[in-house]
Amino acid sequence: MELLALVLIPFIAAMLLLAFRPAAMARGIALVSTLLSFALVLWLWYSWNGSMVIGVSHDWVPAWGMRFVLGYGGIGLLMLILTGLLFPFIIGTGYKQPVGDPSLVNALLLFCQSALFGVFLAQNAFLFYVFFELSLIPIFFLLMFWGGAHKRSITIRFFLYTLLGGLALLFSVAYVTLQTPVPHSADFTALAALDLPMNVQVWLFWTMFLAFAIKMPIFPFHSWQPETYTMAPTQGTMVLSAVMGKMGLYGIVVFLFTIVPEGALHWSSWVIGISLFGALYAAVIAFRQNDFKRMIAYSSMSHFGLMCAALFTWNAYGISGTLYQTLAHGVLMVCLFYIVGAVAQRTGSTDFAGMGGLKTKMPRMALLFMFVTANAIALPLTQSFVGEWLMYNGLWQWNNWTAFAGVALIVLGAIYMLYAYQRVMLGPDRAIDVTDADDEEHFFLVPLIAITLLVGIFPNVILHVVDGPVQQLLNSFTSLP
Amino acid sequence: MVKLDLLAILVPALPLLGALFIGFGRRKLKGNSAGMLGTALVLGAFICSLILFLGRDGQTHIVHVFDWIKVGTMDIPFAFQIDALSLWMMLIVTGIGSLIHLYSIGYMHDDPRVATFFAQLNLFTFSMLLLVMGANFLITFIGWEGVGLCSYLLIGFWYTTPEFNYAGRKAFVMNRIGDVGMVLAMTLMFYTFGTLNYVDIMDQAGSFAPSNPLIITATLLLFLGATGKSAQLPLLTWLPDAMAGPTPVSALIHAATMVTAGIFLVVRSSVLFELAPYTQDVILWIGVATALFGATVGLFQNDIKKVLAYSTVSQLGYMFAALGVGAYSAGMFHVTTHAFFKALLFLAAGSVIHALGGEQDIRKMGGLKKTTKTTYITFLIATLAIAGIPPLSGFFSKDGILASTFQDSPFAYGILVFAAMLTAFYMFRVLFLTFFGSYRGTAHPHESPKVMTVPLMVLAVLSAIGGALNIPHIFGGHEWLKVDLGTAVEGVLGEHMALSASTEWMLMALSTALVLLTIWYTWTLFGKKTTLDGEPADMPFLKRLIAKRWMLDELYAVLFEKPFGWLSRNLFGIGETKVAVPLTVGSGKAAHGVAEWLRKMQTGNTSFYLFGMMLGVVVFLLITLFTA
Repeated sequence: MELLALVLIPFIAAMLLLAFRPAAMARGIALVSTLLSFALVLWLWYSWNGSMVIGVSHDWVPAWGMRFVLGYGGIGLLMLILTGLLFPFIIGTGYKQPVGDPSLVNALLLFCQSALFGVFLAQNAFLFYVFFELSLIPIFFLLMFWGGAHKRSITIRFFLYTLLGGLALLFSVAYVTLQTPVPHSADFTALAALDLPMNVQVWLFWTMFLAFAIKMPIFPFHSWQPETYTMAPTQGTMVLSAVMGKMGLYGIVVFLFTIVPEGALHWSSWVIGISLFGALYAAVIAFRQNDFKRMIAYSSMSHFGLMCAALFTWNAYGISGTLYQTLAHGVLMVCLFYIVGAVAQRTGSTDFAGMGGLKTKMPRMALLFMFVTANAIALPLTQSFVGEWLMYNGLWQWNNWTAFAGVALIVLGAIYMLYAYQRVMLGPDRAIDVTDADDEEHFFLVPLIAITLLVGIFPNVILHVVDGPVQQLLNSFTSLP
Repeated sequence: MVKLDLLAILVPALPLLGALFIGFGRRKLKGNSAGMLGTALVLGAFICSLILFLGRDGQTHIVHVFDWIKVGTMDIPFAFQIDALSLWMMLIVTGIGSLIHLYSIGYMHDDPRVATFFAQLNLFTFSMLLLVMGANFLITFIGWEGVGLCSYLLIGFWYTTPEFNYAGRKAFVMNRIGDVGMVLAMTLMFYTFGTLNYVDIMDQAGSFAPSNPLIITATLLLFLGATGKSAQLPLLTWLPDAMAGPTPVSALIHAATMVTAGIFLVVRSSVLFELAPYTQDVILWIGVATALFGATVGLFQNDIKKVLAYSTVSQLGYMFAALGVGAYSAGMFHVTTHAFFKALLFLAAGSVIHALGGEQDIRKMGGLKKTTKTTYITFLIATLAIAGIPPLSGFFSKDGILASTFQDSPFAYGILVFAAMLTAFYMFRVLFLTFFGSYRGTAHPHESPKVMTVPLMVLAVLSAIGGALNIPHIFGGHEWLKVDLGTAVEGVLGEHMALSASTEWMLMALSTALVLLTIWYTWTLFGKKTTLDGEPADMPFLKRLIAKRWMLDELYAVLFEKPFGWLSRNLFGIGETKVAVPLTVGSGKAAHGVAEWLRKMQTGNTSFYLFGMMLGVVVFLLITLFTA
């Protein structure tokens, strides 16, 4: 029941916002709703016993194997923690950086959270698909209504592109469901039990992977991302990069690794190759970007490339590292885009040209940004370091040379992040009228930075959640023929 | 044991507390309070280290604080290793550290961000302590990256000057290139040994045959990390630029402690390096080349801090040369004495700069021995020490390195002796131009306050008598430091001097005589200068090249910096803007175009539809006909 509640709390709150349009209180209601959801997630975490939990199981369209099954294991739980933790902050962004009609904006964000909880709870492939696509709709409106320049053409391109991936996924889900014995079942457990012939797995891998590759995105399926992130309102960008991209990584684990494991193994070198290439490619591009927000967009793409590569290394370090990193990356992206928004609000645009020398007038903001930068370049004792360290180990165990390519990112990351920091904060005072970070902004960033450091010092808190499930996953691989 | 655990945790905890307290209370801490607090806490760490040091029992103690990373079969504890090596480094870091903190109270007195300065300096001390105390590579790496961050922050401390910010970034990025080696070495070692604990790795390594490719790769990668942190060829151009930071930072981070991290790392993993003779050769020759490189560039620099920076580069080269021939205790001995006299040189130079209101050009100094007497005497002692004049500390430590390299490679020895002559030249050139002759500037020189001169005097005493730590047998000494380190560092006690006493005496006499000769020559050039000749218009090619620092910065700009910027711009300008996005947009447009074309067929004209239908039937019939 509590699993259904997780999907329903944000949904009902969103409906209330739409029905009553309480403009003044909309953010408060949304915040309470997300905090409630987060409390529920924490309770699920606390009461979790390490095994798969099925909460709701209901027939839906039996002929097609569609069932309404909600449940979670360790990996799903991590995604719930990610979604539950970050949405209060994403909603909270609206206090200081408001955009549009608060009732509508917050309703859309809550719809999105509801769908995302659905994605991470769904234990049936069709149900997953439905939530996967549902999450796109509120974001579409958010971007369409409150995006920046060229919002219509960019939003439509983004929407069509991701929809294309979604359709390929729908086809794959229908196909594999029909392979199950009658009565068909699209439950993940039933699909995992399938032993599809190798020649099928080889092509089915791509029809599924396409959806997730576009969602993250990784090179060369990324062309929607930089412009969409740049023009989207801050909250939209946060949802896209911090949470929705993770659907791609999560999807790879629950679809590719369980339904077509041999196909995935077959293509691993290719995926690792293009992911790492894309990671390096994006990291190089990020260096000379003239727009702060687009620069962060490319850095996000670079991180996704590394995460995707490490996921396909078939060992505990690569997979656990990637899963751990989904949370770290989410926290990082919310922090970074918040700072971009906060600075742009003061200088009038996200262009680096209008920034520089802000530290003199904004020493407190500069310090907060320095903490976030430390996390972005994965200094030890920040959250990101542990994930990167594990991912490099995963890559090394897969193939030494992939680790060499991956580790180049720690240099590239330092190059573009420190350059960005300098272009925003350092240099002679620009004599423009800006105010320092106020209490509200501290109230937003300090808890996130605290999480960054605490998890960086005690990473086992998160690693414990995924360690067991990843071991089980790996054991199922070793039993492959 | 409880006492040892507690003290070991207190040592890094005190400066960390200082960093947090001063950092967050920086607006409330007025006047000297931030400096006093920061100094007191580092002094506290020094006292704890001293208690641990005096109570040492020659054993290796592991202080387990908590489990840090535990996943799969990976188990990396947050633990400290207390043995002779880490204790010795802790004493250097906290001892020299507290002196430099004390000095900074005076030096940074007028800076409005003095509290931030002390917070960062304390954070640096904390990181450096983690680096030397870590019980496994990854804890060391926390410190390794931490000192890199603090170095970046402190180089760019005066952040309104763009060049300083550039210097900070350059330092961090070049260090990170080295870190690539460090991270890869750690992944390789974890893959090979299944652990990163020093004790376990050194245990297991014993079962490897010498020159095992895995060990060679691991040691080469570790050494790459060391070249970044310790400014060896080819990753050294950041260190001279790092002089942009406040002078106490140059003394503490870029001379006495952080830059010796690479040497510490090699000594800490001596077992591995002993198994990799190929890597040892690489280290020896990189060290020798860097010693020569730094010494040559030091000859014609006119910025007092730049001379000292290149001198540091050169001296670090000496230390690596020692490690390359397996003389770990000689390397560590030079780390120690160098920490004394180089910290002193920087602090004394800072005192001069302070006296002249920020002037760093030695051409605009001169005659300062009268006005800044304490500074002059301490600087003189440090100069004599670094030049290797007996019986000052540098004489013993440099001689140890020279003797060790001689038995391994007389050629390397020759280069190092030549570099020692160059060292004497550039150091005495600075000494004469700064303190002798008559004043050539316009400021009003004055001696620095006591809070700055007292650390100078303490360091001067240490520079003078520091050699007593490791007096060789031919002087009737017992090589105390070597014996002490021998309890912790594999291979130190096995370092035996194959040289006969007479050869040793001869080598010593030779190098000392050559250095004295050089000093006399320098005196004739600069000793009595009251005015300076302008630079001759046409310098010989070699001199011009050296004066331009062998064009290394220019070379890197052409080879790496500019192409990278070009690549970054063009991957975006072409790869993204001209290819990736148009392709997506184009595919949409293509679909749209096809639809437009197909739409035209819906003319509403019945005869056109009938025609189309007939055409279809005919095509269909033809296909059946031919395939039948």
